[in-house]
Formats: sequence, structure tokens, C-alpha cells
Amino acid sequence: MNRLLAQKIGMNSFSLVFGVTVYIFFSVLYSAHLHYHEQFQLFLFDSMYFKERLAVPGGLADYIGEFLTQFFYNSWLGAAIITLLLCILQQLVWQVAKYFKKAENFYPITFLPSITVWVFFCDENALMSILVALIVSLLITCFFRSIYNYKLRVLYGIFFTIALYWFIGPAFFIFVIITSLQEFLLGRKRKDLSSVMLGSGMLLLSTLIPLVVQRWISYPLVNLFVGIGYYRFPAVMPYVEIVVLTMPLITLLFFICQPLHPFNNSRVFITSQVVILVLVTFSTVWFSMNLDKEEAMHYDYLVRKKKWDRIIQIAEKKPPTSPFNVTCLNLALGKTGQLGERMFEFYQNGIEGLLPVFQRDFTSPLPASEAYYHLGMINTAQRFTFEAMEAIPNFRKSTRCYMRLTETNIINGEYEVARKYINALSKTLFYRRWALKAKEYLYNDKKVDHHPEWGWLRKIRYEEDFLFSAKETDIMLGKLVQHNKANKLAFEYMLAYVLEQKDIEKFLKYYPLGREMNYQAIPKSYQEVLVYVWTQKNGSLDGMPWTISPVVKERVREFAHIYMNQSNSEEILRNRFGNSYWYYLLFKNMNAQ
Amino acid sequence: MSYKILALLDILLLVLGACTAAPTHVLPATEVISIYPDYIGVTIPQNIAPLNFLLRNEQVEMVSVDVVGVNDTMQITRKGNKFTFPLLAWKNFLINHTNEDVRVTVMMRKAMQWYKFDPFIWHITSDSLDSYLSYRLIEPGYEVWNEIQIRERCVETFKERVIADNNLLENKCMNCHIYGNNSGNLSLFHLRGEGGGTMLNKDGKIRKLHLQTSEMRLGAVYGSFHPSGRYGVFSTNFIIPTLHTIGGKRLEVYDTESDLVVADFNNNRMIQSPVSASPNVFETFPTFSADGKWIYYCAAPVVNLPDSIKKMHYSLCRVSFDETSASWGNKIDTVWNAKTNGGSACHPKASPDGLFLSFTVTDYGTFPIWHQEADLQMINLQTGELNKLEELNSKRSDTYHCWSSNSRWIAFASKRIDGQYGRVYFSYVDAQGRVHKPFVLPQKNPENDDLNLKSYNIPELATTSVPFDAISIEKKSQELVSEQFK
Repeated sequence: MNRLLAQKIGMNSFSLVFGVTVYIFFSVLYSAHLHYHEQFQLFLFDSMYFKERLAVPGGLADYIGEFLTQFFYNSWLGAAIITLLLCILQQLVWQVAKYFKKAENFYPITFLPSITVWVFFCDENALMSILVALIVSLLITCFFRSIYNYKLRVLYGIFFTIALYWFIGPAFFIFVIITSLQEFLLGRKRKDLSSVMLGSGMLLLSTLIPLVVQRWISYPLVNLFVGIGYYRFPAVMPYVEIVVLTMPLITLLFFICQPLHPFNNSRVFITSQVVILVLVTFSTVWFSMNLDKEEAMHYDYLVRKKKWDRIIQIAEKKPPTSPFNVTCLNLALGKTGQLGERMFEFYQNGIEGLLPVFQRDFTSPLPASEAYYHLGMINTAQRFTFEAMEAIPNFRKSTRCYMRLTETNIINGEYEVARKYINALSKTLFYRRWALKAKEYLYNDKKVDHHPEWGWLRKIRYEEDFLFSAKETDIMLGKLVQHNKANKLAFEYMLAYVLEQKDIEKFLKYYPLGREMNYQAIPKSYQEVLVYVWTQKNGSLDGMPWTISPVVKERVREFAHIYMNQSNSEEILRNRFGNSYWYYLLFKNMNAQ
Repeated sequence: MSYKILALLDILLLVLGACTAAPTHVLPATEVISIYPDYIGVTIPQNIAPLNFLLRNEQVEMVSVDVVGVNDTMQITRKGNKFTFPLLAWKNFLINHTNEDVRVTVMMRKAMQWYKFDPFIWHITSDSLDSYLSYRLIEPGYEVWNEIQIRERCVETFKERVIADNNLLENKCMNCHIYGNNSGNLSLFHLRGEGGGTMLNKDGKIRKLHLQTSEMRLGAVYGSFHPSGRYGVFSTNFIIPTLHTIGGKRLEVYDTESDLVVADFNNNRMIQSPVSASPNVFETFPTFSADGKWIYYCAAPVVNLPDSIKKMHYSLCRVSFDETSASWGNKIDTVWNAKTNGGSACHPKASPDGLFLSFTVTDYGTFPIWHQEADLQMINLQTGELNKLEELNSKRSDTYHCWSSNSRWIAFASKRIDGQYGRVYFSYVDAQGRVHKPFVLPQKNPENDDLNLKSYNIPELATTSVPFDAISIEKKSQELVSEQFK
């Protein structure tokens, strides 16, 4: 009795440790990934949406997966959902395995499928539907074994072979293979040919279904075999996905074959299993996780949530270097009025870190669209958002994009279009309230004008029609400044743009516009440029027409001295003046950017 | 078989509908009726699918509709604000009341009280609409495309099928599908990208064509079939998309090069026109006249682009074409002069009876779909009279039209609902050449136009269904090697 109790406690402890580890991983280390998932779908409580999902194989798993993914809006809730499902998966594997051979000593092995899903989920394009599909498949498998009547088993087997394919996609073959195996074993044991026939029939049926389904479904045959909704790119099947789908079967093999039979009752055997599992788990998760992407997603999430100070705090601890992250940081600096003052304190990678050109993918245009939106380039922001959503590989819509498109259309007075997005958002769980609030602004120009953000953006957006030119972004920004002199962000972006391009001439041309911007002091980067310009034509710093701080004057002297007199000046200047425009101007290789 | 099941279901629904509390103690409504789609006072063909609609007045619990003809009445009541007609009852009613005006009375129940709106009229004409309609369904994006399908819809029912799907075609971009002679046995669409080509469907056979020769700088884009089916006339365009900055304006698309060419499908030959090959003039949107003796097209003098885009005005011109010798004429007539009429012409289409030439007019440029001011106009080719089709046009883009085979219907894409998502509208053209108030393509679920955030591009009417589907196009695109043209 005591031994059984100890065994049960031991098993539960495994599950608890596993659950806690998974939860910490997703809620602490990988929380931005969860937000990333949530923004690239639009789960609607709507019968048309449900029917649309169910119209393709695996649609129910997609539907449930998307239903669950919407809760990733709160990362702690998302982490809890993943943890719970991974634990359920492990328990189901254990339940199924027990049928073949009740071997508690192999209990740790039953974590393998959950671990592989965890590893798969380190990939930002792995979707929840695969986990849902595995659970449903194993659940249906568990019920099968409790049917003793042969005719009922035939009906159950045929029905679920077809139904599972349609509802959960290729994970149905786990059900097919396990139940067929059960039937084969039963047939052998009872010397009963009918069981063998049932098993063979189910296997045959499972291979025929995708071939038949192809007549009605507009997907390549290979997708109908390997799945549509388990990965964000329907045409791609990463090898980890194959491992995930086959791991429940591999795990069962351990139970059926019982390797290392003479030793498997020893404590050493169990301990060895645990140690190996822990090592395998940590090493595979470590190699699969991508903290650079997590960092980028975190920046993007903070931009989306307008947490400007938090972005700067993070950058102060670890300066971002990728254009994606730098775009987010520069926007945060701009929104807090620090772009002119501090931008060169951080790593800058040219205009790609300020206003990146449009790329045909679903992630990189989003920070750029945020920048364009806050600048008042509403149409460009709309374009970047729309195109990003269009580029989502699995054709899903995006809550984030729908919200932004609602905003851009309200600002532009395109209320009928905004109404369409609002209608959809009002059928969601987490955006309904926002949508209903936004609805109050439809057809009410006065109310929009008084909205703190939309009203402001309506004031600063272009009112003159011309064709946007990405090659002349500084001129586009200049037109914004000319249209509304209160648009300090556009002014700072315009100067930042030409500074990033090292175009001092244009800087000097645009800089005087700042006189009407009510600056208390000249921002540091601008002082550095002005001093630099002065030193190119004058021997001393006396007589400068601008108010330059003594610190900047002192620093420029020091910089010039090192630059002129040291043979390895770049290294010294990088350490001491890497946060100055002078260093960027003289040493940053534009081509390398 | 399925039709019988449908009929049984209809009868069942009718019985159920009849059992649903019929309106009693009905009071006149004090508010204005708000229905989507706007089917009030329209002329409809006898073969159209049921005009299901949403009653958008607030807090509607039930809707009841009486359609009263000379001989009988159709009364249906539905719960909620979504009103749908049973298909079989609808079809019978239309056939029994052809060439009649029927009176439609909409009633709503609110807070357990029935209210009746002022009745309106539907005129049911015996001039049928071609049974099939094809369109490209796509998000109205800028440059990125993802999910593109060409679908064929039976306008008599709600049956819709996918006839080409880029999901099966390695995500290649597909241009719109056009018919010749309004026939499902003569049609084509361009499949772009590597391994692509023009998919020509002729008499049940699919061919993949490379409509470009070594002398041609650009491939075929906009086109139309000759009535014989042997030729197709195409423009070759270098297309540049760009973005407007002002709210409400979205995309500007213009050509930096364009010319015309005739493709001989029988001899795999491209016949270029020396008349239209001037480098100082852009030519685009060619179409054959009903008798095939003329090629109508749009032409504009070259201006500095994109700076002078607003000075880009296309006139409507024509040049003769001799079918026997496969040769272009050498004299260009101006049919509609952009300078004198103001605006820019796009997409001319001749009615199959040869009486009319309809086209789109915008303020400037060559891409009317994003020009809110884009309107359809029509020239009577016998009298030269210009009709601005005020009954048909809206404040937003109305363009990309086609004619039915009997020349009694114009189908066109309109963004009149919201300015962004195009929907297909039909307008009746009576014997006197007058157009009637258009109505939108009916949907089984009338909420579809609200929830479906895709545009219906280039609606084209045909009397018969095309003999292919998305799967066969996938196979053919893989199997066939593009036929080269000389």
C-alpha cells in the first residue's frame, strides 16, 4: 500500500515539476512569444467563422487552438493553458500506454510527447492546434479500448477515422495506428481474423481519406496528408513537427518492447530515465528557443501597448542592435521627446532602424507602421498594417491589425470601412469593449476631433494629396512639419532621417524649422552636428550662433584631439564617444548597415 | 436529386414559416425602413436567386414579408432581422409573375408589436441574366497578395465554386478571368510568375500560352476575345503602383509603358499594330466590337510620371481589324475625347448586340478601382449619344463592368457600400437603352457582405459554366509547358 502511495506521489511530483517548469518558461522567458501568437489571429464568436474553420481538414483543432490562443492576450493565462494542456497530454499518453503494458517504471518516458511539443512551441510559428489535435486523438483512442463489442468497435473505428481526419487533421493517424495495433494484438491473442481486418481496414481508410478529400478542398495533396493548421506556414513542415506527431507512438513502443528489461525495475533505471529526460529537455529547449526573437517580440509588444518608458529602460540595460528593435526604440525616444537628445546614445543602423522600407512579410512592417501612425502618415501606416496582415501565411486576420485599421479609417473619416472592422472586433472576447467604444466615434467627426490620439492625428495628417515616395522620406516628413508646426515628432524624425543618412547639408536646411517648435535647449545630437559643422570652417569654438552646452564643447575638443593624434583613434573613440553623432558620422560604415 | 431535397426543405421551411406567428394587429411603422441590400424599387430578372436581406432597423425581433403579384401572394415570416426566401417558392413566384410589377411589404416585430413599412415595387423582367458569373475574390490590398481565388457563381441559386486557387498554384498571382461571347467554353486568365502563363479554355481544352514574343518588351495584360474565338486583343503594360497621402484616397496605379497586340490562338502568333506602337502614346484596355471589325481601346499622350499623373487623360479610340487577313487598320478614330469631355476613359466594353459601348470615366489615370469618382458611361454607337448612367452610378467607384449575352444587363463592381470592398451589382438596360437602379448580387446569408472582407474583382457573365475547376487548373499548370508565340 505504502509502495503504491509512494509511487503515486512520485508520479505526481514529476508532473508538478514538469508543469511548474513549463509555466515559468512560457510566462517569464517566452511571454512575448505568446503575445506574438495572439496578435496574428482573430478568433470570432460567430457561426460563419466556425463554419469557415470546419471547412478544412483539421478545422476543429484549429478552431479550439485559436479559441485558446486568444487567451494569450494575458501571457500568464497563456502559459497556464499551455502547461495544463501539456500535462493533459502526458496523462493521456500514460493512460494509453498502460493499456499495452502497465509499467510504472517507464512513467517518465510518457513526458516525451509533451516535451517535444514544448520544444516545437519554441518556434514562433508552431500553433496550438497541434497540441489540441494530439489530445483529441489520444482521448478518442482511450475510449476505443473500453468498447468490447466488435460491431461497435467497427462503427467507432470507421466513424472516428473519418471524423478525426476532418476535425483534427493528420494527428488522426495516432488514433488509427494505436487502435489498429490494438486490434492486431487482440487478433493474435484470440486468433481472430476479424480484428485484423478491422485494423487493416482502418489503416487503408486513413490513407484513402486525403485522396478523396482532395476533390473538394483547395489544398495541395501533400498538405492534406501532413496538415494545414499545425504550423503558420501551411506549405512548410518542420522536422520537429514530424517528431511531435510521431512521439506518442515512439513512447508506446517503449512500453510494448520494454527495452533493458532485466534492469528496468531498479531505482537506477528510473533515476537514469529522469536524468536523461531532464538533460534532453533542457538541451533541446535551449537549442530551440530564440531569445533574440523573444527580445524583438517584446519590443514590438511594448510598442503596440505604447509603453515608451519601458522600451527605453530595456534599451538602457541592453542596447538593441537589430533594425526591428532599433525602430521600436527610436519611436519610444520620439514619443517621449528624446529622439534628438539621445538617439545616438544607442546603436543606430541607418534609416532601416528609423523608418524601414516595406518588406513583404507579416512582422517587419508592423513597427514601421506604428512609427508612420504616430507621425501622422495615416495612409502609409494603413498600408503597412494592411499588407502585414495580408502576408500572414495561414491567411488569418490579426486583432492588432484590425484595431489599427479601425483607427486609421476613423481618422480618415472612412467610417463605413471602420464599421466593418469594428463589427468583427465586437465578436471577440478581449477587444469587444474597445470595439464598442470605437463604435461611438463612427460618423461623429466632432467626437473624433476630441479624441486625445485620433483627434491629434487627424490634425497633423496630410491634407494635401500627393503620391507618397519612400525614396524621399525626408521630404514627406517635411511636408508633415510644414502642415502642422506642432508635430515635433515629424520634425525630429526628419532630422534623424537625414542624420542617419549623414546628410549634413539637408540637416542644416531643415534645422531652422525647429525655431517654431518651442525647444528649451538644442537637443544634444543636433548640438553635436552644429559643432561639427562649425569646426569644419572655423579654428575655434568662439562665435558660434547656437547655444551649445559646455559639455558638448569640451567633448568635441577631446574628440578632435584623439581623432587627429591617435593612430588607433577609432577604438578609443568607440569607447569614449560611441554615443555621439561624431562617431556615427565618421566611423559607421553605411554600406555595412 | 439535390434539387428535390432542396425543394422538400423549402416546403418544410414554408410550412414552418407559416406556423411562425404571422403578423397580427399591424401598425404603420413610424421609422424609415433600413434594409441591406437596398432592393427597393429594382428591376430583377426572372432567373435571379432570392433577394435575401437584413432589416437594419434597431431591435427587430421578427421580419415578415408579403410579396403580392397579380395572381398570388408569397408571405414569409422569419425570426431575427435576417430575411431569407425559400428558393423553390421564390423561383415559382418569379416565373409566375414575369413581366409584372409585384408589391413588396416588409413588416417587423418590435417589443411584441408588428409594424408595416410602406410597400415598394419589384419589376420582374423576362430578360434573363446570364446564369453564371465569375469574379476574382481578393483582399483589396496594395501590393501584397496572399489568398486569391477565381470563383464561379450561379446567379440563379447560391451555388459557388472555386475555379482557380493560388493556394494550389504555388501562391502565384492570378489575374481576372474573362470570357469570350459570354460562354463558359471560351475564357482565359493569366497566371503570373515562374511556370505561369495564360490559361486558355477553349471548347473544353485547356492550353497554357506564353503571350509574349522575343520582340515584345512586355507580356499581355488586359484583354478581350474576338467573337470568332480565334483572336484575343491585349495591352502590354508596365504597371507601377503608388500610394496617395490624403485620407480617402488609397492607391494610384499607372503605366510607364503600354501598347496593343493581337494574339492569334490558332497559329500562336502575335500581331503587333504599327498604329498603336507610338512611344508618345499609352494604349490600354483594348476590346473587340460585337462584330469583331473594330478594336476599341484607351489612349493617352505620354506625360511626366508620376508628377503629372493628374494630367494623364485617356481618350477612347478605335482602329479597324480584319479577321481574314489578321491585320490592323491604319486609321485611328477618337470615339470619346478626354479633352472635350473631361476625365479619363477606361475599360470599354461593347454590348453583344453592337448598339452600345460602355466604359468607365475617372478624373484622371488608368486605375478606376481606387478612384471614388469612377463612374460608368455609355455611348450609343448608332447615334453617338452619350449616356452618363446617373441611375446606375454612385459616389464611389463604379467600374469593371460587363454585358450579359442578351445585352439587357450590365454587371459591374462597385465600392458604393464603403469605398473599399467591391461588390457585384446588376443593372437592367431596357429596350430604350435606359438603365435601371442596380441591385447587388444576392447572397444566401445576407450578412455575407458585412463579414466578407474581400473584394469581388472583374465580374464577368457567362451563359454556361466553365468546364474546369481549381484542381484541374492545378494539374494543367503543372503538366503543360507554355506554348510559345511568334
